[in-house]
Amino acid sequence: MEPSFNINRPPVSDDEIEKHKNFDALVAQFKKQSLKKARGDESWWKKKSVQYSTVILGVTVVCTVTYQSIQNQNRTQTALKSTNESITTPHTPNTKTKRSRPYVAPKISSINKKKTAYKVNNQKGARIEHTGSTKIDVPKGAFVDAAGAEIIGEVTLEYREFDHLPDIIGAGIPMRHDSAGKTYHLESAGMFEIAANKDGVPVSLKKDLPISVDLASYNKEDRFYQYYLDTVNRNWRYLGADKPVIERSSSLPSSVRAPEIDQTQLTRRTDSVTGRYNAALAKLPSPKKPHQPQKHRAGRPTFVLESSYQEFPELAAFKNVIFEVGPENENYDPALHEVTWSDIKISEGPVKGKNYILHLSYRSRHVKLLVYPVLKGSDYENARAEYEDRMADYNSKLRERNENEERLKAELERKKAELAAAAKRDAAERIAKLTNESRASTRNQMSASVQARRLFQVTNFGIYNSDHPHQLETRSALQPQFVDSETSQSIEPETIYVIDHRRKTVITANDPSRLELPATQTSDYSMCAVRGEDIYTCDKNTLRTVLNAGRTTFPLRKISGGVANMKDFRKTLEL
Amino acid sequence: MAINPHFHHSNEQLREELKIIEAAKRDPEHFAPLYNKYYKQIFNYVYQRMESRESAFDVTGQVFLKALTHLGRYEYKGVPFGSWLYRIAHNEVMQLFRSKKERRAINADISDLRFLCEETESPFFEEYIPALKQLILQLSSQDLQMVEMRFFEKRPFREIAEILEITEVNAKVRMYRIIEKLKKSLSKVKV
Repeated sequence: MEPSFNINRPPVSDDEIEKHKNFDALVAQFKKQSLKKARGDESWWKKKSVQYSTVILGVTVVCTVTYQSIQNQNRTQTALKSTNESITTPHTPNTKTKRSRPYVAPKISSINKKKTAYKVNNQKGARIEHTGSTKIDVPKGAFVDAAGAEIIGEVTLEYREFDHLPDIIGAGIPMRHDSAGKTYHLESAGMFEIAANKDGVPVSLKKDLPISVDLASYNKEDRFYQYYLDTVNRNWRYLGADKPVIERSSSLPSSVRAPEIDQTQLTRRTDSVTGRYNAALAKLPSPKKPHQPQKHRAGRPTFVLESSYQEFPELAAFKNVIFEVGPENENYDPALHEVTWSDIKISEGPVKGKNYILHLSYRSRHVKLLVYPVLKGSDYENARAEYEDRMADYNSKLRERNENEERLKAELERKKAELAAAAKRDAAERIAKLTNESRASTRNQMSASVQARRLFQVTNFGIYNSDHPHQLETRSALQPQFVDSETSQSIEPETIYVIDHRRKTVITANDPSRLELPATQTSDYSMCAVRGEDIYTCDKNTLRTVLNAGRTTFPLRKISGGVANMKDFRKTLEL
Repeated sequence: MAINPHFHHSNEQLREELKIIEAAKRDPEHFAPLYNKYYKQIFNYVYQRMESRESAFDVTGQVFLKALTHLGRYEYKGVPFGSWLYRIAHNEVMQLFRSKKERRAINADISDLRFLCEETESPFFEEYIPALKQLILQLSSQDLQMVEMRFFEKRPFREIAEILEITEVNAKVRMYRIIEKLKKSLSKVKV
């Protein structure tokens, strides 16, 4: 069935739409449907065989899980002697082995971001611009020694930022947060570490003189909270809601030239439209104005000629036309009418269609007279009536043509205006696109194109973070195995990072035997494992295959040569 | 071209929606705010594609019933709930046309056709309308869907991608190809 095509079909009014809305009817229908479905399934579960099978299956599952749990515990007790704390164990602060492991544990030196050192005169304070975007305001007299006395002279302020997940992994910063008995994994919108020392001896901050850090962030969402990493209690401490200040840079970065209207394309389009207009104009019929018959003036001499006047169709239009001799002819002589001329010709006169030259010849005698085509009596009356009709028709056609011409012209002007407006819009869109591209590509430089600024008040040195806590459903991997995907040899990594690409967070397992995996496949995950200076990865596709199959053997690909820098590391992690 | 304003939601609005959805999963009575919010949009989407007004109302009702029935399967993906409803509506109308129970309709305003011509860099004259209609009717069902959503319903590419379950880039590439096809055909049209 071919579809129907409607132009300008009137829409349905809001009142009519409102009349058809009936939520109560919808709910009633839904409930009826659900009841019908339930009744259809009822008999199924009442069967004794089904009930008995369910019980037996349940008992089997419980026994299996208990046995596996006992096996795991035995393995863990021997492994716990030399390994780091596993975040999958219940959080028991008194465990001796946990305290011996550093809380912030960078694994690979090449990807552990270095701090930038700034010199600050404590008596003057300072305004530091880090990478041109983050601003650090140090008030006068902020630094004190262990006894609380103001430091005199220069202090070295050390600062570094962790903009992305690879920075965080590289620095060994834990992203797990326990609160009110629940475990969260943190997604960061910006993190920094700040410290200060005087000649290598750490200093503190005076109580009522915090340092302000105006952190440049590439994330402008407002769902984040501020935290401070408490390395003593080994947890993130909640500081409060984070309210970002959105950067609204409407101007292009200075490195980007503002695109102008593409005149060439605009001209080309305009010419194309004008060409079509001219073509359409040429197709319009051009009516011809009829010739007005002239009446013979009484007393004026005339010549009657026998000719079809094929050369002059305007003469052929009139019946019985005669030629009146114009008064301007000084050489006219009435005796000319008595001569039997051997040759008589008519040619076009000075005013086309109005007068003619009459050529009279006899032997060597030639006479030229300026003559006017005229009509006499009823011939004139008839010609006149016919002329009036033709004139009316001509005027009508002329009017029609003029209207069409006006319409085409108006269409042309409108089209040209639309093309100009489109070109202007296009230029504006290109500016916006360039601005966004520039922002995206220079986010590490954090210049004038940052997305937002996050304001922190630093009262203690350490690591501050703008985070969104995610409660991830995880499950323990039963006896996970790790093998080199190329050599098939077994690997015993020291630390495993399971990266959640959608939520931009990471689950860290410092004890790989207690690996926690995502319970549901609602995101993309990849894995990174570290052993010594060796790095291994399991990419998103491979990990998805393993998780979907319910397997616990993870093929890992070794990054040969390791990673030289953060750029390589990000690429390795598919981030 | 004014973009349909209903799609874009702030984070706050998305969070609010999610709360309602979670509540509705437990008790269907809580579905009312979503029903009221999206009813008109879904009806307009369906009626855009159907000849009969009454049938369009029936189909709209079916869409919401299906949504309520399968709400447990709904997964939040960072986009408005409406996207999921549009997908259900899309499948419902396609099913009707496949079973030939209803006749497919295409509805456009003159300004929509003018805009379409401009995108193909062709001038628009009213004399072109019959030829333009023919060209549109000759489009494949997929291409027609794209043209309708972009030019007649004025949806942004992101929304189109969500409804058709393709990526935004894919949606733009498809649209570009359709425009090129139409441009070629329109250049051969003589008034």
